Amino acid sequence: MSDHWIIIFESVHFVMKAEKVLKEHGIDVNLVPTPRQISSDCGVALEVFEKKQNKIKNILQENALVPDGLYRKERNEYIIKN
Amino acid sequence: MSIYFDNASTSYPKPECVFEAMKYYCKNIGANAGRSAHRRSVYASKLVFETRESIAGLIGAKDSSRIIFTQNATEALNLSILGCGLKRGDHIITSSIEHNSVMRPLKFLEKERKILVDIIKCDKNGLLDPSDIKSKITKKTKFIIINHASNVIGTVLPIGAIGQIAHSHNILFLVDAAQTIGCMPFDIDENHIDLLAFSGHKALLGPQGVGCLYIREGIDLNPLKFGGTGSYSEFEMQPDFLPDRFESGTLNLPGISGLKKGIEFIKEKRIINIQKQMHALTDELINRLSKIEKLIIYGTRDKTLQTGIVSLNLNGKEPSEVGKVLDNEYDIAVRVGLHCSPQTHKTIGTFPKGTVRISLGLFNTTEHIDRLCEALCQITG
Repeated sequence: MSDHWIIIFESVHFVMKAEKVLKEHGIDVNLVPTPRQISSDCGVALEVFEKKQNKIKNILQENALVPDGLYRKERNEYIIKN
Repeated sequence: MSIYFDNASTSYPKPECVFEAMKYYCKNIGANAGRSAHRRSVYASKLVFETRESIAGLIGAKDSSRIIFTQNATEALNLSILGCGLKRGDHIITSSIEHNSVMRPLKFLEKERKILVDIIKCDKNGLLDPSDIKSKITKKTKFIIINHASNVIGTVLPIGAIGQIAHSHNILFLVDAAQTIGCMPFDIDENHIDLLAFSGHKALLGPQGVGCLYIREGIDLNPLKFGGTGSYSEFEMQPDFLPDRFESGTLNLPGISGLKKGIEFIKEKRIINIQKQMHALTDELINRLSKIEKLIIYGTRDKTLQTGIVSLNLNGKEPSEVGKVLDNEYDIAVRVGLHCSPQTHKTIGTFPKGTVRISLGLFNTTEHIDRLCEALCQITG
């Protein structure tokens, strides 16, 4: 079963870029409001469903995308993983 | 038939898809980019992102976050010149065919911060010898600012050779590409361009109100504007990451929607083909004008050395009078006077009277040129 990840970036520009490249790799990804527990900002975060954290990390790295935070959702908690 | 020859000021007409996209955005989307997570806002954020990517592709930028949206090329040039931290005694080199959007901020810094400005004289056709720039470089030279092509006579400057000189001396290189972006292909890396300023409403066929600045990685500018960016809102300090650092406040979303379609339109036609088309039309214009008696053409008269801009004067007639007659009696729109570039007119010997400027666009035809030449023949008598 896939894990449920939330990824945030400094700028919405990089959220859009990450969405594009992850989708190109066939990863299940959505744009969602940034959960309040992660950031008080009003912006958009990426919700990703993927079993392997390394796969996500590698794709982002290949595209020079540096997340501001990569979190795994466990029940109602967001655990930082980067 | 109304004829428009003022494309160097702004292109007209725009492709149908440009204003259709603007109407679609205004009618059906409306929301701001980067401010919320509702679908309308996400649509707007995507629109901005995709437009940035498209522009990055056009100029050969690898990282589209280095493309900043401004109000126009003037703001992009001001951001570069005022934002790069020039101090008393710093030396700047520019050419004698720059637009006031470069000359005025430089004059401001000359007075306020006591910077030193060297204006390299171009010849009367606007041609510039890169070695004249090289010979002016001192230890204090911080910045070289060059027009890619003159907005008065269309002369294209050798940005590749100048970029090489700037790069080898570790001097910041800013290019004003307002008159060339979209009508001739060029690459930022090949020309060692650090900062590239251009407008979206000329050959890119977007509406007025959107310009761009490309900022090479590693170059830090101070913003001209500070404020809301939708990011890191809990901090009172301006973000230091791009594009947010330079894009405070609401972006011109209807304008960006239109620009995106304008760029798609020219990419589909291919810029190399557009350049060929403009070369042919420019050649035709110059040849036809050359046959008119009592008409003086300024500039290189060589399609390979210039864009589709031709400045002229009719013997014994004021440019403003010629412009008025062309408009009122022939329904032909041209621009007359100094074209916001008194330096250029001093260089070509037409200051303070100015010239009549014919500037071609993608939608001009040989029939338009026929009509113009007939009108000019009649005016000269």
